[in-house]
Amino acid sequence: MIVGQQKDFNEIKKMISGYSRLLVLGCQTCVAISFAGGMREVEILASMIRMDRKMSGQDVEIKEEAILRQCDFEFLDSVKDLVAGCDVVLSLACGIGVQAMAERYPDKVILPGLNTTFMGLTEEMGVWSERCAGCGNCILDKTGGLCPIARCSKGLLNGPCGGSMNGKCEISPDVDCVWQLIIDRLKALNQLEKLEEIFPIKDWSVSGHGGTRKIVREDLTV
Amino acid sequence: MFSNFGSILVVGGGIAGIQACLDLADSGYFVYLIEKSAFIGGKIAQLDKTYPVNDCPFCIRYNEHMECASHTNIEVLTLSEVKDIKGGSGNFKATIARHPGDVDSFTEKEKTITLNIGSIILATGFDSVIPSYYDYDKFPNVITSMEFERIVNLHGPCGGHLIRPSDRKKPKNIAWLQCIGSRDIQHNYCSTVCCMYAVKQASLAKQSNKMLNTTIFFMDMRVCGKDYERYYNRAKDEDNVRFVRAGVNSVIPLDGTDHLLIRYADEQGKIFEEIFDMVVLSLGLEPSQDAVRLAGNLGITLDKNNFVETSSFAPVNTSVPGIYACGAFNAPKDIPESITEASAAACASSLNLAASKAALHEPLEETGQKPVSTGLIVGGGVTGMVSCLCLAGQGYKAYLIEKTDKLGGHALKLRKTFKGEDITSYVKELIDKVDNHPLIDVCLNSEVKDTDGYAGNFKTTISILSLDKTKEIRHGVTIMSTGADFLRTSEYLYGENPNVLSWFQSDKMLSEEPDTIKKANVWVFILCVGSREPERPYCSKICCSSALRNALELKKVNPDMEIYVLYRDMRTYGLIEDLYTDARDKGIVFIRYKLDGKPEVEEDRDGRLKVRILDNFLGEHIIIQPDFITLQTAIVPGNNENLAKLFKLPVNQDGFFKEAHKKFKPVEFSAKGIYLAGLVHCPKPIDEAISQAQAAAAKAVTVLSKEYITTSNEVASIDLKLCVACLTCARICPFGAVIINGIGEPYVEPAKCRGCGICVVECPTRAIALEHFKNDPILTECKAFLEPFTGYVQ
Repeated sequence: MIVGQQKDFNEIKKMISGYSRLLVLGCQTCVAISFAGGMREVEILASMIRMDRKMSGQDVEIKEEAILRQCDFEFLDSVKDLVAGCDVVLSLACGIGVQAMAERYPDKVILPGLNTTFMGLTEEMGVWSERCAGCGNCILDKTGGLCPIARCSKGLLNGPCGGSMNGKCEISPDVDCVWQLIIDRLKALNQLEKLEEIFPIKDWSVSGHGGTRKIVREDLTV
Repeated sequence: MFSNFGSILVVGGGIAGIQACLDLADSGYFVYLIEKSAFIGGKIAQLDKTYPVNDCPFCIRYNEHMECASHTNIEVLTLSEVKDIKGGSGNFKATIARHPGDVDSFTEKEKTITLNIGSIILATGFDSVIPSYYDYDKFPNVITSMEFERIVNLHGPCGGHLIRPSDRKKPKNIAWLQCIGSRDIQHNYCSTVCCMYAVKQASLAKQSNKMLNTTIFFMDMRVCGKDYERYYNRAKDEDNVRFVRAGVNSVIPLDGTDHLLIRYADEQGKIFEEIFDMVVLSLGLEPSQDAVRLAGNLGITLDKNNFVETSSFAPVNTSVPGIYACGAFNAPKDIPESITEASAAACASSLNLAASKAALHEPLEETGQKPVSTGLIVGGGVTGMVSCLCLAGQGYKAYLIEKTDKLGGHALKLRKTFKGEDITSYVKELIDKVDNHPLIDVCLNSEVKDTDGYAGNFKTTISILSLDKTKEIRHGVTIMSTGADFLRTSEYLYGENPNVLSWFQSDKMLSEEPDTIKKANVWVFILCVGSREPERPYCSKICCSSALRNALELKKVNPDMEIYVLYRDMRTYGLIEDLYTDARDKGIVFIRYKLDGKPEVEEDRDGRLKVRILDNFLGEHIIIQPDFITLQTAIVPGNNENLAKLFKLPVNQDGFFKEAHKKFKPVEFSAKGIYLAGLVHCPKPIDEAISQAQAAAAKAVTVLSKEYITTSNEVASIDLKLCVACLTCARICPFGAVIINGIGEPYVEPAKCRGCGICVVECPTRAIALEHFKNDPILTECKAFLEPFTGYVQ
């Protein structure tokens, strides 16, 4: 899923200053699960804005809503009236949702309340970590199901580097060296020979370095 | 619902009486509650906050009070007194005098009623000792501890403002005087609760007014309950309550002012004088005179202080069969112990009546909606065995899981209680009873492997290590009684010099090597080894009494022996004070040490021991050359991690299991149907462990005796339209009540849900609501409430 992190409140305050009619709009999918932009966070952020405005003596009218997915145009129509009734939409969706809103409501100011952080998973309650970099050319079959592009600080394909110490990365003792994990896992699977294959130079053109990516499936288009 | 098998009379409507009534009534017995005042609730209604949680006791107990008043199985008779009781166990006839209660009707007269009952529970509580010294009545600014409670109570006469009586001004400095009416010639016992309530009063007063000076004058700081030591440390270190170890010899009014001069002697005997605005007398506890009279009429044996004489092995049984006593009438005790004893008395009195009831219960194998009438008891020490016998005695099947190859636990190493009763033969007898009871199934060398279910319907897999196989047990309740362990210390040359002994080694020596003892000239006991230290900030509670009992026995075997007890605070609480008095009479020498001045133990080249310690009285170091040193090592928690994980039970910061409420629910977990008893809860002596075992069984019976598994209406419900199956609820539910089904939908098991609301606030999509506490009605209520005050409209 896409993991997001709410922006610093001061940054949000600055963004919305001057607007008195707000719609705080959450997204109930990925960012809800990562506790950054679901209905719960919408309620909390709206209350914070109200308190802040009250303390500084400014009026504000805030509507709160969250929709199933902000990344599908069809869902965006359900908030048409709420959008019409506000000056600005503070979207708590990921960057995709914010852009979808901006595209659907071209006359409205749409502001991002989150930083879209990474594609990852919930390790345990309150802990998320990155798992995929969306490089466009998956190699997990060769690396024991652990991705060195997303999880090696250098993105090495033929690791580990000399900075791997006691299973940890040189950038921080809290970060696992993924190449150590890859070796451990392949050893456990009795597949260490897989590492004898040298990775050739990776084609990064499919990873966005070749320009904005787009997929068109003619069999599906209507 | 009237019972078929006899009813029970509970005398005294305080916290213990109410608890006993509820446990009995919830198990299907009919109970009469006799209270001499016009209201039930007792002393607790007068108290301000309770330690160590600082909760309002009345608010927390409100539900129980209401339940007691309205329970169909309880008849409350206020303004009533027991006049006479005839007959015997199983067939008592009580004559009750009911005083006129209606003030408007002068025609109403005293009525007499007769009740037929099977058992009687005395829960008559305590009275405060009013001593003649300290001129309590003469000086307005000398008040009692109970008066202080009323002054600071929000609903008291001063509206919660701490003011002194003479001029209703805020005092700048207050002194608390400890042991008033305790540990003196007339009351040669410790009232147990005064240290903690004074610490609480002083620290809360200090927290609400940082400028206030609070001083507690005390002899020994006896804070031996669960988490009490931490509370005391916080008062000392964070709230800056001043503690002065001194004997106060007089409180003198200062002429022309309302101030009071306190003259006291410090440990070296130096005299000091200080002026205070207000003085609080920490009054001790004594049995109420009415109760003493009633006990006399009933022929119940009382001790020299008029407390009910009980055995450590049957802590709620009086000398008269069928009559039980609980709470402060047995000995001065705190709320958790009183509540525990109340439940224990409920257990004991239902066991007494169970002979006719037992035939009614057949262990059920299939449940449907009925609870499985079987208990699972984890841990086969004294506590576990007592719980088993209590359940089996009432006709329920009990499985006893013990991880070692024999029953008995640490009690097998113990010899005598502080009262001198023989533990060895008691444990032997207990094991015999358990082994031979047809309803008890003992599984030795066994451990819990997996568990699932809810109150009334658990399914637990145990692995029998010796046979290398597993067994599945269905049960309605679970009792955790896995006990604790003792600290293996490396301090004071333990393990290096053979003459440095642990407490049970010296216990063993007393029974097996009297000749060695006769030859020894000097013996040193070191207390608080590993207890009350920064890494283990709790009191192990039993070390003081066990050291003194052994010291006295050494003295008996060898009267010429010099015995030194090196201690930090002598915590012979309650009736154990007797041992301390006796020990001093017998010439045992007590030397106090501080944490930063621990005794130093060395050995010379021949292995002869030398102890160096600062004597506070002399102000100099002294050297003792003992033949033996006994170390009173700390009680440490056993390895509870796995059980805690399997049963989803909380563990406190010291590693002991955490009960539902430290003060009012000492043997229950928050999860229904699971109970705890004994040292797994915190360190405690055998009598307290046994009463917890009985209490846990009483609680268990309230579930087992139900015809149907009951669930609360206040459970969480999930709106699947809003749910995105993020798993948050399933991950955080402390009771494991949320289950994710095969198609990714969460489901709340109503019997497991305790209505705590954690999932409701955490749900990121706001898909969960707690029935009866839904957002919309509550917000509407709040808005309606706030509108007239703030004009709040949203």
